[in-house]
Amino acid sequence: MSTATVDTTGLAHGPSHDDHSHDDGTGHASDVAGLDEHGGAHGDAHGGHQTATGVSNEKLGMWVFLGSECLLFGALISTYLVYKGRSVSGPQPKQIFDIPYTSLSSFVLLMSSLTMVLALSACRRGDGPRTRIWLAVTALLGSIFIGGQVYEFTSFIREGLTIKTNLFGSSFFVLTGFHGVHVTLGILMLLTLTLLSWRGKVGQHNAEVIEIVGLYWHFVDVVWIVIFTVVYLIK
Amino acid sequence: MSATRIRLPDEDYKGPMLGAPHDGHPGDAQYIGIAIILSVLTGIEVAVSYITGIGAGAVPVLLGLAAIKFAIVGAYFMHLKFDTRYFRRLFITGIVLALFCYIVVLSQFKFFPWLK
Repeated sequence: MSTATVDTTGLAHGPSHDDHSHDDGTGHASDVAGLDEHGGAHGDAHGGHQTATGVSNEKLGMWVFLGSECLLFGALISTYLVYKGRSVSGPQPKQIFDIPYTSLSSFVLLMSSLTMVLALSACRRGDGPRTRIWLAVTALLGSIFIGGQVYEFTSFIREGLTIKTNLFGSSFFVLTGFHGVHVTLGILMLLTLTLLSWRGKVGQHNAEVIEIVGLYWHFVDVVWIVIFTVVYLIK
Repeated sequence: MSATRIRLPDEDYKGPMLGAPHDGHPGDAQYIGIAIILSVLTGIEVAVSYITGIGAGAVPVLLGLAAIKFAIVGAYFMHLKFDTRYFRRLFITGIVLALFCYIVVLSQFKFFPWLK
């Protein structure tokens, strides 16, 4: 019996499925991307749905979205760098940035990533109360970060730097403003998850929901790591 | 007689199976340790930005530290180190395209000065 092996380009995940090859008695053994005899996939992400690829569609979708977000922030950071140092009037970065203050904000956002993974970890253990506490703490830390950004923007405007003042002002407010909007959306998602967990709709059986929101939250954190270095620290 | 077997694209994957307990993932203590490392790196970044003697030499140091922090968050907090490689590839593709976008924009300004 000859065996023809076809390599799919699917996103199946997991160890070899040799054990699942079926011989239907006609000599045609087949193992199609983990599909069982009922047409369902073996890769059942966290007890939820079944997918032909073996990878959760929702999680895959979030990664594709995050990949596209890299382009959005890449374009915004590029614009900031291109316009950096080209302003002929108005306040310059060196005059208005408060590095210790922004460092503290960055630290707060970094720690929110820790509380996010602790929430996921608690959820996977089936510890509902701790899941809700860590989710709420993550939302609180995110809110502190946003509050700090609002305060920073207000103080910049008082010092004469608005989005219309110069190239630096335009590119700075657009870049950090877009990031702030992302953080705000993340806070709303976290609060929604906390509420759903409270009602028992999110738990160990569908911890992947928290993982997906966590991916988004960690992404806004890594974007801030880049913004903090490129915009604030590099002179 | 022929047998057709469609090979899974990630058969050499060594991480936990989807749906299985995530035993390969770090525990809470490890996550806290990672957060401490990230905090220390942030402190070093801020300190380097204040050292005026380094001059332009601070730029690669700061970018390197940011890249390390980025990689640590991606690998451990976003679980790229433990998940299937396809997620990693998707994310890296986005980053590479973003870098490409930046390089193209900068080259336009460098090589076509009338665009300034």
